[in-house]
Amino acid sequence: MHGASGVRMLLDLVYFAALGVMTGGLYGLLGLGLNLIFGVMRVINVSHGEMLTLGAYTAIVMGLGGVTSPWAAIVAAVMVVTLIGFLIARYLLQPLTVESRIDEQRGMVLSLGLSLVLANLVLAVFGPEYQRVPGKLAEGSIVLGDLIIEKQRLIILIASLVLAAALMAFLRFTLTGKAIRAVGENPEAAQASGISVRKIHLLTFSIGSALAGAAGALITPATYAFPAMGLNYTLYAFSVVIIGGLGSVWGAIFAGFLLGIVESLSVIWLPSGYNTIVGPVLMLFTLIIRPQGLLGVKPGRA
Amino acid sequence: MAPDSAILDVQGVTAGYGGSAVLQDLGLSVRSGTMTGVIGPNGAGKSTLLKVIVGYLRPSQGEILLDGVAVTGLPPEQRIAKGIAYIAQTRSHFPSQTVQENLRLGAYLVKDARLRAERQNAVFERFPILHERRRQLAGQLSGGEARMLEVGRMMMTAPRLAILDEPSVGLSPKLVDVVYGHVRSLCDQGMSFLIVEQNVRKLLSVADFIYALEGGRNRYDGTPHDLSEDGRLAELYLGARG
Repeated sequence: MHGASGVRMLLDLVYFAALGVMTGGLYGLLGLGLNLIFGVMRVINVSHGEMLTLGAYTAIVMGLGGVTSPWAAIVAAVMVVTLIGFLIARYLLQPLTVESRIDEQRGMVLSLGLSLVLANLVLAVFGPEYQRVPGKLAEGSIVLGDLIIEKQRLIILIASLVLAAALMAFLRFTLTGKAIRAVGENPEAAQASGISVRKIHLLTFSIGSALAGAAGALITPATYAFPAMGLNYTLYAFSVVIIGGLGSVWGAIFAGFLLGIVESLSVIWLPSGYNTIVGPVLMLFTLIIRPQGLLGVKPGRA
Repeated sequence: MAPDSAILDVQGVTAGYGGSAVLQDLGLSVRSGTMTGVIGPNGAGKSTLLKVIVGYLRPSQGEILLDGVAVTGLPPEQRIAKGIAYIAQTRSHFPSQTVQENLRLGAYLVKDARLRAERQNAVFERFPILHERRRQLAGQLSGGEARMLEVGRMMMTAPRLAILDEPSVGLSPKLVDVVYGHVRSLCDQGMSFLIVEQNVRKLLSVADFIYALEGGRNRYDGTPHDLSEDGRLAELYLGARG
Protein backbone atom coordinates (compact mmCIF):
# COMPACT_ATOMS: atom_id res chain seq x y z
CA MET A 1 0.00 0.00 0.00
CA HIS A 2 2.76 2.33 1.08
CA GLY A 3 4.88 1.54 -1.97
CA ALA A 4 2.00 2.15 -4.34
CA SER A 5 1.35 5.64 -3.00
CA GLY A 6 5.07 6.42 -3.30
CA VAL A 7 4.99 5.45 -6.95
CA ARG A 8 1.81 7.49 -7.38
CA MET A 9 3.57 10.51 -5.92
CA LEU A 10 6.59 10.06 -8.17
CA LEU A 11 4.39 9.76 -11.24
CA ASP A 12 2.60 12.96 -10.27
CA LEU A 13 5.94 14.75 -10.00
CA VAL A 14 7.02 13.54 -13.41
CA TYR A 15 3.64 14.45 -14.85
CA PHE A 16 3.67 18.00 -13.54
CA ALA A 17 7.34 18.49 -14.38
CA ALA A 18 6.59 17.47 -17.98
CA LEU A 19 3.77 20.03 -18.11
CA GLY A 20 6.19 22.61 -16.72
CA VAL A 21 8.65 21.89 -19.49
CA MET A 22 5.86 22.65 -22.00
CA THR A 23 5.45 26.21 -20.67
CA GLY A 24 9.12 26.68 -19.74
CA GLY A 25 10.28 27.00 -23.34
CA LEU A 26 7.94 29.93 -23.84
CA TYR A 27 9.17 31.65 -20.68
CA GLY A 28 12.74 31.18 -21.88
CA LEU A 29 11.90 32.75 -25.24
CA LEU A 30 10.33 35.77 -23.53
CA GLY A 31 13.30 36.15 -21.22
CA LEU A 32 15.65 35.93 -24.18
CA GLY A 33 13.94 38.86 -25.93
CA LEU A 34 13.95 40.96 -22.77
CA ASN A 35 17.60 40.06 -22.19
CA LEU A 36 18.56 41.01 -25.74
CA ILE A 37 16.89 44.41 -25.49
CA PHE A 38 18.47 45.09 -22.11
CA GLY A 39 21.89 43.78 -23.09
CA VAL A 40 22.14 45.88 -26.23
CA MET A 41 20.09 48.97 -25.44
CA ARG A 42 20.20 49.06 -21.62
CA VAL A 43 16.43 49.51 -21.64
CA ILE A 44 14.49 47.59 -19.01
CA ASN A 45 11.50 46.99 -21.23
CA VAL A 46 8.49 46.76 -18.93
CA SER A 47 6.22 46.66 -22.00
CA HIS A 48 7.71 43.34 -23.21
CA GLY A 49 4.57 41.44 -22.17
CA GLU A 50 2.40 43.89 -24.10
CA MET A 51 4.26 42.94 -27.28
CA LEU A 52 3.00 39.42 -26.59
CA THR A 53 -0.52 40.81 -26.05
CA LEU A 54 -0.35 42.63 -29.39
CA GLY A 55 0.80 39.42 -31.09
CA ALA A 56 -2.10 37.51 -29.52
CA TYR A 57 -4.64 40.09 -30.63
CA THR A 58 -3.19 40.24 -34.13
CA ALA A 59 -3.91 36.52 -34.31
CA ILE A 60 -7.44 37.12 -33.03
CA VAL A 61 -8.06 39.83 -35.62
CA MET A 62 -6.87 37.41 -38.28
CA GLY A 63 -9.31 34.83 -36.92
CA LEU A 64 -12.17 37.35 -36.98
CA GLY A 65 -11.17 38.15 -40.55
CA GLY A 66 -11.66 34.51 -41.50
CA VAL A 67 -8.07 33.29 -41.46
CA THR A 68 -8.25 30.01 -39.60
CA SER A 69 -4.64 28.87 -39.98
CA PRO A 70 -2.79 29.65 -36.75
CA TRP A 71 0.46 29.60 -38.71
CA ALA A 72 -0.68 32.46 -40.95
CA ALA A 73 -1.71 34.28 -37.77
CA ILE A 74 1.80 33.83 -36.34
CA VAL A 75 3.38 35.27 -39.48
CA ALA A 76 1.00 38.23 -39.37
CA ALA A 77 1.70 38.76 -35.66
CA VAL A 78 5.44 38.80 -36.25
CA MET A 79 5.05 41.39 -39.01
CA VAL A 80 2.68 43.63 -37.05
CA VAL A 81 4.65 43.51 -33.80
CA THR A 82 7.97 44.02 -35.59
CA LEU A 83 6.53 47.21 -37.07
CA ILE A 84 5.15 48.35 -33.71
CA GLY A 85 8.50 47.61 -32.05
CA PHE A 86 10.30 49.55 -34.74
CA LEU A 87 8.01 52.57 -34.31
CA ILE A 88 8.44 52.51 -30.51
CA ALA A 89 12.22 52.36 -30.85
CA ARG A 90 12.33 55.02 -33.53
CA TYR A 91 9.92 57.58 -32.14
CA LEU A 92 9.92 56.97 -28.38
CA LEU A 93 13.27 55.47 -27.39
CA GLN A 94 15.58 57.10 -29.93
CA PRO A 95 14.87 60.62 -28.63
CA LEU A 96 16.16 59.47 -25.21
CA THR A 97 19.57 58.62 -26.65
CA VAL A 98 22.50 60.67 -25.40
CA GLU A 99 26.01 59.95 -26.68
CA SER A 100 24.98 56.58 -28.17
CA ARG A 101 23.35 55.37 -24.96
CA ILE A 102 19.67 55.42 -24.09
CA ASP A 103 19.01 56.99 -20.71
CA GLU A 104 18.25 53.91 -18.57
CA GLN A 105 15.77 55.41 -16.13
CA ARG A 106 13.84 57.31 -18.76
CA GLY A 107 13.75 54.24 -20.97
CA MET A 108 12.27 52.17 -18.17
CA VAL A 109 9.70 54.78 -17.16
CA LEU A 110 8.73 55.19 -20.79
CA SER A 111 8.22 51.47 -21.27
CA LEU A 112 6.20 51.30 -18.03
CA GLY A 113 3.88 54.01 -19.32
CA LEU A 114 3.76 52.31 -22.68
CA SER A 115 2.67 49.01 -21.13
CA LEU A 116 -0.28 50.73 -19.43
CA VAL A 117 -1.26 52.59 -22.59
CA LEU A 118 -1.05 49.50 -24.80
CA ALA A 119 -2.99 47.25 -22.41
CA ASN A 120 -5.75 49.87 -22.14
CA LEU A 121 -5.79 50.44 -25.89
CA VAL A 122 -6.39 46.73 -26.37
CA LEU A 123 -9.12 46.91 -23.71
CA ALA A 124 -10.77 49.86 -25.46
CA VAL A 125 -10.73 48.21 -28.87
CA PHE A 126 -11.46 44.57 -28.03
CA GLY A 127 -13.25 44.76 -24.70
CA PRO A 128 -12.47 42.81 -21.53
CA GLU A 129 -13.71 39.40 -22.77
CA TYR A 130 -11.46 36.37 -22.93
CA GLN A 131 -10.88 35.52 -26.58
CA ARG A 132 -9.25 32.79 -28.52
CA VAL A 133 -8.41 32.08 -32.15
CA PRO A 134 -10.62 29.54 -33.92
CA GLY A 135 -7.95 27.17 -35.27
CA LYS A 136 -5.62 24.80 -33.50
CA LEU A 137 -1.92 24.22 -34.03
CA ALA A 138 -2.59 20.46 -33.94
CA GLU A 139 -5.40 18.15 -32.94
CA GLY A 140 -5.23 15.47 -30.33
CA SER A 141 -2.93 14.53 -27.51
CA ILE A 142 -0.03 12.30 -26.76
CA VAL A 143 -0.91 9.81 -24.06
CA LEU A 144 1.78 8.15 -21.97
CA GLY A 145 -0.06 6.33 -19.20
CA ASP A 146 -1.54 9.06 -17.01
CA LEU A 147 0.49 11.69 -18.77
CA ILE A 148 -1.63 13.45 -21.37
CA ILE A 149 0.06 16.18 -23.35
CA GLU A 150 -1.89 18.18 -25.88
CA LYS A 151 -0.05 18.12 -29.18
CA GLN A 152 -0.34 21.86 -29.51
CA ARG A 153 1.46 22.38 -26.20
CA LEU A 154 4.30 20.35 -27.63
CA ILE A 155 4.27 22.48 -30.77
CA ILE A 156 4.43 25.66 -28.68
CA LEU A 157 7.46 24.24 -26.89
CA ILE A 158 9.20 23.24 -30.12
CA ALA A 159 8.40 26.53 -31.85
CA SER A 160 9.72 28.48 -28.85
CA LEU A 161 12.96 26.53 -28.90
CA VAL A 162 13.32 26.91 -32.67
CA LEU A 163 12.85 30.69 -32.39
CA ALA A 164 15.34 30.86 -29.51
CA ALA A 165 17.87 28.79 -31.47
CA ALA A 166 17.37 30.93 -34.57
CA LEU A 167 18.03 34.07 -32.53
CA MET A 168 21.17 32.60 -30.99
CA ALA A 169 22.49 31.45 -34.36
CA PHE A 170 21.76 34.88 -35.83
CA LEU A 171 23.67 36.64 -33.04
CA ARG A 172 26.54 34.17 -33.16
CA PHE A 173 27.18 33.66 -36.86
CA THR A 174 25.98 36.63 -38.92
CA LEU A 175 27.84 39.92 -39.25
CA THR A 176 24.73 41.84 -38.23
CA GLY A 177 24.36 39.58 -35.19
CA LYS A 178 27.98 40.19 -34.24
CA ALA A 179 27.42 43.92 -34.67
CA ILE A 180 24.42 43.70 -32.31
CA ARG A 181 26.59 42.00 -29.69
CA ALA A 182 29.36 44.53 -30.31
CA VAL A 183 26.99 47.42 -29.60
CA GLY A 184 25.89 45.68 -26.39
CA GLU A 185 29.47 45.20 -25.27
CA ASN A 186 31.01 48.49 -26.26
CA PRO A 187 28.93 51.08 -28.10
CA GLU A 188 31.84 53.50 -28.53
CA ALA A 189 34.12 50.88 -30.08
CA ALA A 190 31.20 49.71 -32.24
CA GLN A 191 30.80 53.22 -33.60
CA ALA A 192 34.54 53.48 -34.10
CA SER A 193 34.19 50.37 -36.26
CA GLY A 194 31.63 52.14 -38.42
CA ILE A 195 28.57 50.44 -36.90
CA SER A 196 25.53 52.68 -36.56
CA VAL A 197 24.37 52.29 -32.96
CA ARG A 198 21.11 53.98 -33.94
CA LYS A 199 20.30 51.35 -36.57
CA ILE A 200 21.36 48.47 -34.34
CA HIS A 201 19.08 49.77 -31.58
CA LEU A 202 16.12 49.89 -33.97
CA LEU A 203 16.88 46.40 -35.21
CA THR A 204 17.35 44.97 -31.72
CA PHE A 205 14.11 46.34 -30.35
CA SER A 206 12.24 45.17 -33.44
CA ILE A 207 13.64 41.64 -33.11
CA GLY A 208 12.99 41.45 -29.38
CA SER A 209 9.43 42.65 -29.88
CA ALA A 210 8.88 40.30 -32.82
CA LEU A 211 9.83 37.29 -30.67
CA ALA A 212 7.32 38.31 -28.01
CA GLY A 213 4.70 38.90 -30.71
CA ALA A 214 5.33 35.45 -32.14
CA ALA A 215 4.92 34.00 -28.65
CA GLY A 216 1.56 35.77 -28.31
CA ALA A 217 0.19 34.35 -31.54
CA LEU A 218 1.65 30.96 -30.69
CA ILE A 219 -0.22 30.57 -27.40
CA THR A 220 -3.66 31.94 -28.34
CA PRO A 221 -4.85 28.68 -29.90
CA ALA A 222 -4.08 27.02 -26.54
CA THR A 223 -4.92 29.73 -23.99
CA TYR A 224 -7.27 32.68 -23.88
CA ALA A 225 -6.16 36.20 -24.63
CA PHE A 226 -7.30 39.17 -22.56
CA PRO A 227 -6.12 42.79 -22.47
CA ALA A 228 -4.10 42.53 -19.23
CA MET A 229 -2.40 39.23 -20.12
CA GLY A 230 0.88 41.03 -20.86
CA LEU A 231 1.64 41.88 -17.24
CA ASN A 232 1.89 38.23 -16.21
CA TYR A 233 4.26 37.50 -19.06
CA THR A 234 6.37 40.56 -18.29
CA LEU A 235 6.73 39.15 -14.77
CA TYR A 236 7.71 35.76 -16.17
CA ALA A 237 10.24 37.38 -18.49
CA PHE A 238 11.74 39.42 -15.67
CA SER A 239 11.89 36.37 -13.40
CA VAL A 240 13.65 34.39 -16.13
CA VAL A 241 16.22 37.14 -16.72
CA ILE A 242 16.96 37.61 -13.01
CA ILE A 243 17.09 33.89 -12.25
CA GLY A 244 19.16 33.01 -15.30
CA GLY A 245 21.44 36.00 -15.08
CA LEU A 246 21.30 39.35 -16.82
CA GLY A 247 22.79 39.04 -20.28
CA SER A 248 23.13 35.26 -20.17
CA VAL A 249 21.51 33.54 -23.14
CA TRP A 250 21.74 30.02 -21.77
CA GLY A 251 20.73 31.35 -18.37
CA ALA A 252 17.44 32.55 -19.88
CA ILE A 253 16.70 29.16 -21.47
CA PHE A 254 17.63 27.26 -18.32
CA ALA A 255 15.67 29.62 -16.06
CA GLY A 256 12.68 29.39 -18.38
CA PHE A 257 12.49 25.63 -17.90
CA LEU A 258 13.22 25.87 -14.19
CA LEU A 259 10.44 28.41 -13.72
CA GLY A 260 8.02 26.37 -15.83
CA ILE A 261 8.73 23.18 -13.86
CA VAL A 262 8.64 24.75 -10.39
CA GLU A 263 5.45 26.62 -11.25
CA SER A 264 3.83 23.44 -12.48
CA LEU A 265 4.93 21.42 -9.43
CA SER A 266 3.65 24.13 -7.10
CA VAL A 267 0.13 23.12 -8.08
CA ILE A 268 0.63 20.00 -5.97
CA TRP A 269 1.22 21.95 -2.77
CA LEU A 270 -0.18 25.43 -3.32
CA PRO A 271 -3.87 26.34 -3.61
CA SER A 272 -4.80 27.01 -7.23
CA GLY A 273 -4.32 30.58 -8.34
CA TYR A 274 -1.14 30.95 -6.33
CA ASN A 275 1.10 29.68 -9.12
CA THR A 276 1.74 33.23 -10.39
CA ILE A 277 3.74 34.05 -7.26
CA VAL A 278 6.23 31.27 -7.99
CA GLY A 279 8.23 33.37 -10.46
CA PRO A 280 8.65 36.40 -8.20
CA VAL A 281 9.47 34.17 -5.20
CA LEU A 282 12.14 32.27 -7.17
CA MET A 283 13.44 35.62 -8.36
CA LEU A 284 13.72 36.89 -4.78
CA PHE A 285 15.53 33.74 -3.66
CA THR A 286 17.96 34.10 -6.53
CA LEU A 287 18.64 37.72 -5.67
CA ILE A 288 19.41 36.74 -2.07
CA ILE A 289 21.52 33.66 -2.78
CA ARG A 290 23.14 34.48 -6.11
CA PRO A 291 22.44 38.09 -7.16
CA GLN A 292 24.14 37.77 -10.54
CA GLY A 293 21.77 34.94 -11.52
CA LEU A 294 22.43 31.22 -11.87
CA LEU A 295 24.52 31.54 -15.05
CA GLY A 296 25.25 35.24 -14.82
CA VAL A 297 28.63 36.91 -14.54
CA LYS A 298 29.43 38.88 -11.42
CA PRO A 299 29.13 42.62 -11.99
CA GLY A 300 32.34 44.59 -12.12
CA ARG A 301 33.99 42.35 -14.67
CA ALA A 302 31.44 43.06 -17.36
CA MET B 1 46.47 66.92 -52.54
CA ALA B 2 49.50 68.93 -51.48
CA PRO B 3 51.65 67.00 -48.98
CA ASP B 4 51.42 69.77 -46.39
CA SER B 5 47.66 70.29 -46.60
CA ALA B 6 45.61 69.77 -43.45
CA ILE B 7 43.63 66.54 -43.26
CA LEU B 8 41.89 67.75 -40.10
CA ASP B 9 40.94 71.24 -39.05
CA VAL B 10 39.30 72.03 -35.72
CA GLN B 11 38.05 75.60 -35.79
CA GLY B 12 36.92 77.59 -32.77
CA VAL B 13 35.32 74.64 -30.99
CA THR B 14 33.45 75.16 -27.76
CA ALA B 15 32.02 71.99 -26.23
CA GLY B 16 31.15 70.40 -22.91
CA TYR B 17 28.63 68.41 -20.93
CA GLY B 18 25.33 69.76 -19.70
CA GLY B 19 26.03 73.44 -20.22
CA SER B 20 29.52 73.68 -18.73
CA ALA B 21 32.14 74.20 -21.42
CA VAL B 22 35.17 71.92 -21.25
CA LEU B 23 36.64 73.25 -24.49
CA GLN B 24 36.65 76.94 -25.28
CA ASP B 25 37.29 78.34 -28.74
CA LEU B 26 39.82 75.62 -29.44
CA GLY B 27 41.65 75.36 -32.73
CA LEU B 28 43.93 72.65 -34.07
CA SER B 29 44.97 71.12 -37.34
CA VAL B 30 46.69 67.93 -38.43
CA ARG B 31 48.80 68.03 -41.56
CA SER B 32 48.53 65.12 -43.91
CA GLY B 33 51.05 62.38 -43.16
CA THR B 34 52.20 63.76 -39.84
CA MET B 35 51.91 62.71 -36.23
CA THR B 36 50.38 65.45 -34.13
CA GLY B 37 50.32 65.21 -30.37
CA VAL B 38 48.09 66.86 -27.80
CA ILE B 39 49.28 67.28 -24.22
CA GLY B 40 47.92 68.99 -21.16
CA PRO B 41 47.16 68.38 -17.51
CA ASN B 42 44.17 66.31 -16.36
CA GLY B 43 40.96 68.15 -17.10
CA ALA B 44 42.49 70.21 -19.89
CA GLY B 45 39.90 68.75 -22.25
CA LYS B 46 42.07 66.35 -24.24
CA SER B 47 39.65 63.42 -24.31
CA THR B 48 36.71 65.76 -24.86
CA LEU B 49 38.51 67.19 -27.88
CA LEU B 50 38.87 63.71 -29.36
CA LYS B 51 35.20 62.93 -28.69
CA VAL B 52 34.20 66.06 -30.57
CA ILE B 53 36.44 65.15 -33.51
CA VAL B 54 35.16 61.56 -33.72
CA GLY B 55 31.57 62.72 -33.31
CA TYR B 56 30.51 61.29 -29.94
CA LEU B 57 29.96 64.82 -28.71
CA ARG B 58 28.48 67.77 -30.61
CA PRO B 59 30.25 71.08 -30.12
CA SER B 60 28.05 74.04 -29.20
CA GLN B 61 30.21 76.23 -31.43
CA GLY B 62 32.84 75.75 -34.10
CA GLU B 63 33.48 73.38 -36.95
CA ILE B 64 35.34 70.13 -37.59
CA LEU B 65 36.69 69.92 -41.13
CA LEU B 66 37.99 66.78 -42.76
CA ASP B 67 39.92 67.53 -45.94
CA GLY B 68 38.39 70.99 -45.82
CA VAL B 69 34.81 69.70 -45.67
CA ALA B 70 32.73 70.22 -42.53
CA VAL B 71 31.72 66.96 -40.80
CA THR B 72 30.46 68.65 -37.63
CA GLY B 73 26.91 67.32 -37.95
CA LEU B 74 27.77 63.74 -38.91
CA PRO B 75 27.46 60.76 -36.54
CA PRO B 76 30.68 58.81 -35.77
CA GLU B 77 30.04 55.95 -38.20
CA GLN B 78 29.84 58.38 -41.12
CA ARG B 79 33.12 59.99 -40.10
CA ILE B 80 34.69 56.53 -39.95
CA ALA B 81 33.43 56.01 -43.51
CA LYS B 82 35.23 59.20 -44.49
CA GLY B 83 38.57 57.91 -43.27
CA ILE B 84 38.79 58.64 -39.54
CA ALA B 85 39.69 55.90 -37.05
CA TYR B 86 39.58 56.05 -33.27
CA ILE B 87 41.05 54.04 -30.44
CA ALA B 88 39.73 54.88 -26.99
CA GLN B 89 41.84 54.94 -23.85
CA THR B 90 40.76 51.56 -22.52
CA ARG B 91 39.08 48.50 -23.96
CA SER B 92 38.45 49.76 -27.47
CA HIS B 93 37.55 46.25 -28.63
CA PHE B 94 34.95 43.50 -28.04
CA PRO B 95 36.17 41.11 -25.31
CA SER B 96 33.52 38.40 -25.83
CA GLN B 97 34.29 38.00 -29.54
CA THR B 98 37.34 36.39 -31.07
CA VAL B 99 40.36 38.26 -32.40
CA GLN B 100 39.26 37.48 -35.93
CA GLU B 101 35.69 38.63 -35.25
CA ASN B 102 37.05 41.87 -33.82
CA LEU B 103 38.96 42.47 -37.03
CA ARG B 104 35.90 41.59 -39.10
CA LEU B 105 33.83 44.11 -37.13
CA GLY B 106 36.58 46.67 -37.68
CA ALA B 107 35.96 46.19 -41.41
CA TYR B 108 32.19 46.54 -40.95
CA LEU B 109 32.05 49.21 -43.66
CA VAL B 110 34.37 47.39 -46.07
CA LYS B 111 32.10 45.50 -48.47
CA ASP B 112 34.88 44.14 -50.69
CA ALA B 113 35.87 40.70 -49.37
CA ARG B 114 39.23 40.73 -51.17
CA LEU B 115 40.12 44.08 -49.65
CA ARG B 116 39.19 42.73 -46.23
CA ALA B 117 41.39 39.68 -46.70
CA GLU B 118 44.31 41.85 -47.84
CA ARG B 119 44.03 44.12 -44.84
CA GLN B 120 43.65 41.24 -42.43
CA ASN B 121 46.84 39.75 -43.87
CA ALA B 122 48.59 43.07 -43.35
CA VAL B 123 47.43 43.09 -39.74
CA PHE B 124 48.63 39.50 -39.16
CA GLU B 125 51.95 40.29 -40.83
CA ARG B 126 52.48 43.24 -38.55
CA PHE B 127 51.22 41.43 -35.45
CA PRO B 128 51.98 37.69 -35.76
CA ILE B 129 50.70 37.15 -32.21
CA LEU B 130 47.21 38.14 -33.37
CA HIS B 131 47.38 35.50 -36.07
CA GLU B 132 48.36 32.92 -33.47
CA ARG B 133 45.46 33.96 -31.25
CA ARG B 134 42.93 34.66 -33.98
CA ARG B 135 40.43 32.14 -32.61
CA GLN B 136 40.77 33.25 -29.01
CA LEU B 137 38.40 35.65 -27.33
CA ALA B 138 39.77 39.18 -27.26
CA GLY B 139 39.03 39.24 -23.53
CA GLN B 140 41.80 36.67 -23.01
CA LEU B 141 44.52 38.86 -24.54
CA SER B 142 47.11 40.65 -22.42
CA GLY B 143 47.06 44.45 -22.24
CA GLY B 144 49.72 44.79 -24.92
CA GLU B 145 48.07 42.26 -27.23
CA ALA B 146 44.72 43.99 -26.80
CA ARG B 147 46.33 47.27 -27.81
CA MET B 148 47.77 45.59 -30.91
CA LEU B 149 44.33 44.18 -31.71
CA GLU B 150 42.92 47.70 -31.49
CA VAL B 151 45.57 48.99 -33.87
CA GLY B 152 44.74 46.04 -36.13
CA ARG B 153 41.01 46.76 -35.87
CA MET B 154 41.78 50.31 -36.93
CA MET B 155 43.94 49.17 -39.88
CA MET B 156 40.95 47.26 -41.30
CA THR B 157 39.36 50.50 -42.53
CA ALA B 158 42.70 51.79 -43.90
CA PRO B 159 42.03 55.17 -42.29
CA ARG B 160 43.75 58.34 -43.41
CA LEU B 161 43.55 59.90 -39.96
CA ALA B 162 43.96 57.79 -36.83
CA ILE B 163 42.95 59.30 -33.50
CA LEU B 164 44.43 57.66 -30.41
CA ASP B 165 43.51 58.45 -26.81
CA GLU B 166 46.48 57.65 -24.59
CA PRO B 167 47.82 54.56 -26.33
CA SER B 168 50.44 54.12 -23.61
CA VAL B 169 47.93 53.69 -20.78
CA GLY B 170 48.49 50.54 -18.75
CA LEU B 171 51.47 49.36 -20.79
CA SER B 172 55.04 48.69 -19.68
CA PRO B 173 57.69 51.11 -21.03
CA LYS B 174 58.89 48.39 -23.37
CA LEU B 175 55.41 47.83 -24.81
CA VAL B 176 54.90 51.59 -25.11
CA ASP B 177 57.98 51.64 -27.36
CA VAL B 178 56.60 48.73 -29.40
CA VAL B 179 53.22 50.40 -29.87
CA TYR B 180 54.76 53.73 -30.85
CA GLY B 181 57.11 51.91 -33.21
CA HIS B 182 54.08 50.59 -35.08
CA VAL B 183 52.40 53.99 -35.00
CA ARG B 184 55.53 55.61 -36.43
CA SER B 185 55.82 53.07 -39.21
CA LEU B 186 52.12 53.42 -40.12
CA CYS B 187 52.64 57.16 -40.16
CA ASP B 188 55.63 56.76 -42.47
CA GLN B 189 53.35 54.77 -44.79
CA GLY B 190 51.11 57.82 -45.05
CA MET B 191 48.60 57.47 -42.21
CA SER B 192 48.12 60.72 -40.28
CA PHE B 193 47.87 60.60 -36.49
CA LEU B 194 46.37 62.72 -33.77
CA ILE B 195 47.43 61.42 -30.38
CA VAL B 196 46.51 62.49 -26.87
CA GLU B 197 49.02 61.35 -24.28
CA GLN B 198 49.88 61.63 -20.59
CA ASN B 199 53.29 60.20 -21.33
CA VAL B 200 54.58 63.57 -22.52
CA ARG B 201 58.22 62.57 -22.92
CA LYS B 202 57.34 59.66 -25.16
CA LEU B 203 55.03 61.77 -27.29
CA LEU B 204 57.58 64.58 -27.66
CA SER B 205 60.13 62.05 -28.85
CA VAL B 206 57.96 60.73 -31.69
CA ALA B 207 55.50 63.46 -32.72
CA ASP B 208 56.06 65.97 -35.52
CA PHE B 209 53.93 68.69 -34.00
CA ILE B 210 52.56 69.39 -30.54
CA TYR B 211 49.55 71.21 -29.16
CA ALA B 212 49.44 71.97 -25.47
CA LEU B 213 46.08 72.62 -23.85
CA GLU B 214 45.25 74.23 -20.56
CA GLY B 215 41.75 74.67 -19.15
CA GLY B 216 40.18 73.76 -22.47
CA ARG B 217 42.06 76.42 -24.44
CA ASN B 218 45.09 76.44 -26.69
CA ARG B 219 48.21 77.15 -24.69
CA TYR B 220 50.97 76.37 -27.14
CA ASP B 221 51.59 74.87 -30.54
CA GLY B 222 54.86 74.12 -32.22
CA THR B 223 57.45 71.43 -32.69
CA PRO B 224 58.42 69.17 -29.78
CA HIS B 225 61.90 70.67 -29.99
CA ASP B 226 60.66 74.23 -29.48
CA LEU B 227 58.52 73.17 -26.57
CA SER B 228 61.43 71.45 -24.85
CA GLU B 229 63.55 74.56 -25.40
CA ASP B 230 60.99 76.90 -23.86
CA GLY B 231 61.94 76.87 -20.17
CA ARG B 232 58.56 77.78 -18.74
CA LEU B 233 56.57 75.37 -20.91
CA ALA B 234 59.04 72.57 -20.41
CA GLU B 235 58.71 73.02 -16.68
CA LEU B 236 54.92 73.13 -16.88
CA TYR B 237 54.47 70.03 -19.04
CA LEU B 238 57.61 68.07 -18.33
CA GLY B 239 58.76 69.32 -14.94
CA ALA B 240 56.42 67.34 -12.76
CA ARG B 241 57.63 64.14 -14.36
CA GLY B 242 61.27 65.01 -13.69
